[in-house]
Amino acid sequence: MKGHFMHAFDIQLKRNAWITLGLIAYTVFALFPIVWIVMMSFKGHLDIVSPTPKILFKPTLENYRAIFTNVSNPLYETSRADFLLYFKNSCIVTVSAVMLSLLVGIPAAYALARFRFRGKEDIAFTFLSFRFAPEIAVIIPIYILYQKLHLYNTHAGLILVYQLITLPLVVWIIRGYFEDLSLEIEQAARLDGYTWWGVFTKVAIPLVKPGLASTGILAFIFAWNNFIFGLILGAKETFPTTVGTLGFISYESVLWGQMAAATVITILPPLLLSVFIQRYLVRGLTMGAVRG
Amino acid sequence: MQLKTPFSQRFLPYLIVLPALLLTIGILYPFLLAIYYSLTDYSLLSPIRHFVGFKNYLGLFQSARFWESLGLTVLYAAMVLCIEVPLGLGLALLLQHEIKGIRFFRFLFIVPMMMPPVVAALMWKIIMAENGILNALLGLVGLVKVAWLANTYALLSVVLIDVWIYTPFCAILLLAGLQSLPREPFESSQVDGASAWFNFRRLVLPMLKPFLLLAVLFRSIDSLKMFDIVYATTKGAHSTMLIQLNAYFESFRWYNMGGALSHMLVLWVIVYVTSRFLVRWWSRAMKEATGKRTNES
Amino acid sequence: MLTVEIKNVHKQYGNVHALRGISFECRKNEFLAILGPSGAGKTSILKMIAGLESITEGEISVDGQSIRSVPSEARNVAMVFETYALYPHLSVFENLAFPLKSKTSRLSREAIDQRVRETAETLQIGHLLDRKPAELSGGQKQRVSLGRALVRKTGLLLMDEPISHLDAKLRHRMRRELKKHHRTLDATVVYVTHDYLEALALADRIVVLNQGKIHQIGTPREVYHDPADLFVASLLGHPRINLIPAGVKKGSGDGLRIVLEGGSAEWPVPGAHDKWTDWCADITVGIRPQHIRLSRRNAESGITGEVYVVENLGVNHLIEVKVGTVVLNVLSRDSEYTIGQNVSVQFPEDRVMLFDRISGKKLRSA
Repeated sequence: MKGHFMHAFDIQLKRNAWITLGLIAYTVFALFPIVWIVMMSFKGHLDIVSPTPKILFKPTLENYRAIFTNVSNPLYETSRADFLLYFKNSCIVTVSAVMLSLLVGIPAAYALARFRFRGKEDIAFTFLSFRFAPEIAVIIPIYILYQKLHLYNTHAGLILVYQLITLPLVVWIIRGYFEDLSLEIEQAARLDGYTWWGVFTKVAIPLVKPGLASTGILAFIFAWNNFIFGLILGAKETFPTTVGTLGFISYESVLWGQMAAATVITILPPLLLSVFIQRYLVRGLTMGAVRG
Repeated sequence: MQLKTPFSQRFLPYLIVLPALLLTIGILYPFLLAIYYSLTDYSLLSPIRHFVGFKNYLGLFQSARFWESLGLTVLYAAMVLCIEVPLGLGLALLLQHEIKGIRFFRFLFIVPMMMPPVVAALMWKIIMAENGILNALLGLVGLVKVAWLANTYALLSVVLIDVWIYTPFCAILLLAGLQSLPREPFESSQVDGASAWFNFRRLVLPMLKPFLLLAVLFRSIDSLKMFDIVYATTKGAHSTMLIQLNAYFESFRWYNMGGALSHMLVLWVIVYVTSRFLVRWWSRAMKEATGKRTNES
Repeated sequence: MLTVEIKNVHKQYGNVHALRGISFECRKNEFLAILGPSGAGKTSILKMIAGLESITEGEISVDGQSIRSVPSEARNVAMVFETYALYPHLSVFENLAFPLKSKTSRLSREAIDQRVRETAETLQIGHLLDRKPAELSGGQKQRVSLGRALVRKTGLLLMDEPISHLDAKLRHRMRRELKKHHRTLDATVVYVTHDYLEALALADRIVVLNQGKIHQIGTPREVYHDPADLFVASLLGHPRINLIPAGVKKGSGDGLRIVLEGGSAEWPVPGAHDKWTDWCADITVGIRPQHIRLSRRNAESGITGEVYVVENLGVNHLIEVKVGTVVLNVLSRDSEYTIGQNVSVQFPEDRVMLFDRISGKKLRSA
């Protein structure tokens, strides 16, 4: 009997070992590029361009200094700085876009969740369809329109276009959260003398607060990570960081170190924020289709 | 039963939805414009615009470049799906075990997905450079250097980058699916003496169908639209000219807006049809698997 | 105190016809119970009175005025939900104060505070005011739910199975408390339940509802001792009333005889047969278990049966007696019966109820 028990235990251990091995292997695959680039951001120019890649090196902050201080380095081309400006652009546009979507989308989500009216599902599907639309198809006419409306290369213009990303997310996910609420609680509030607005503000919204926060963060991440809108509808003054990171490649040279540093700064906000929404990730990625 | 408002308040829901709808119309209008422009020879080079009917579309369907980019895009999507879904499933199967430190792994594997795809592609561009770390590692093992992004198989490298970024998406979705499966059928099957592989094929996979379909839905549509990765790495060189990238160059390099839009509308049609089909399939699979109603009640 | 009048109300959910032309009224200060099994449509009635459901057809008026176009928040009505529906994010105090803070009420902060504490004291939850609903037991939640309904002092109070989720002892205690509260309240109460004991204990009048139709409206006494049909008779009473299929045939002399199916026994028609307005050949005899008399001696014109099961219920014993093919439930204090024993069964004339077997309605003497 004892031998049998030990045998079973053995199998379990072996199985766990293989599982852990598999996971480590994948994690190495997943993190290696990031680790390498982070290392590169702290390398001096010579270390970077050395023919044999260096694992041990003397770390330096010169790359970060370069992109933040817009200083031209006599060693190579003038750095395509303005990185700080790009970072600021990302912050302004992303945060404003998310705010606007929340402001407009939360009531819409509630209406879709609780009211019954004609065309409801069509309207809901319209929001969903943005998620699947090819961006260029929409961007080209918007590009032309924006030129006429003087919205090209403006923060406002970008904030509006970013709604294509953030609004469907907000409406569909938060609609799901509202639908999950017990209807009877809202009915009790109606009987207690509150109109739909009172019920909405004093009962429904307080009860979905965690969902609101997580959806806002998720929308922020997706908006921050966007590239194509900023590329086409923005210009030097309004590029977000995502576009900015490509700016270190020019026909003459590539500023590897600064590019690496810019990359690290660019990925920092969404990565840090993603820590907080672990639990809500599946719901967000599938537009509320999976409640997991 | 939803709150039924009296007839005097029938317009209320429309009012509430209005602001969001206005933003929506702000998108629909350009879309309609897009359709209109695709029927013209709109170009930024000349202020004169002629209505040319379906000339753009005819030109499109006769253009080898269009068919090539369409074929490449579909090929790209197919490759991406064939790798990411099984790989994601494998990863999910590993991640479902509650072994020590699993939380650590469950957080880390998502990281590639959380960063901007264009930046991820940039990272890989650096790594895949001629004298980059990847070739150096190959050299260590004794293999020959590869021009990852500069040979005829560059599309494969782009696929690799896509796999790196988006496999976590499939994994996390399928993990949620695995975790939602009920215990009892497996226990009963075990008592009946079934092998693990049998369990997997006959029990797990069918029950995972809705989740697999969702993964296929999102990944196929997103990969058909892929732009960021190719732009950052190859800009379409070496047979990597995907549809949206092609349209981008048509409009902003050759200034052939009308032509570019016809590209896009074809893509939109493909995406729309695919999504309707997949969503309906998913809806049915959900009902079969759980007996629960879907979001579209 | 408000009156409620329901006139010929129909309710349809899609294709399901939940309520079919029901009418009744609830008088001032009355405690009206709506009794019926689940799915009967009881909750729908309450929700229509409250304005949470639309009325497909018919009229509902409160104090003579139709409430069709009055939105819920403007109706002077309070409701206790079956699931309590407490606000999870508010403390007990805030739950009770919530109705008083809406725009329709105009109390000052001090008045609200006082009213809340008063209500809490009456329901003995004063010590729970700082807790959140998640920290309360079922009984406590139920009281808070009741308190929230009472705090506005509305003239009409609706209760949807408020105590059905509590354990038996607590239910018993709450029944007594609810009765006490109603006496001190100035309100009309419409109370929905599937438990006939609750209805009998609490109500001034009971509306018996099944599958969207009203079977009987009456006082507890009427509904119990003079049920209108088979459904009402079987619904009230535990153990269930004995229902025995029987036939009527001409007997010796002037009388009609009631023959139990299978010819197992017969005895003269109770009451004067010529007073009957309608009689039929197929009837069902109903008699409650506690009214059947058993004796070990052979009575002359009785029915004999064989003891089948003896079950000890504490004070009473449930004795199943096989009479021919029919098994009768008898409730008796006497426990000296053994299985297989022959006993004589007697049905007291004034306790026997006769029902038309097909329509289910009670046959009454004119």
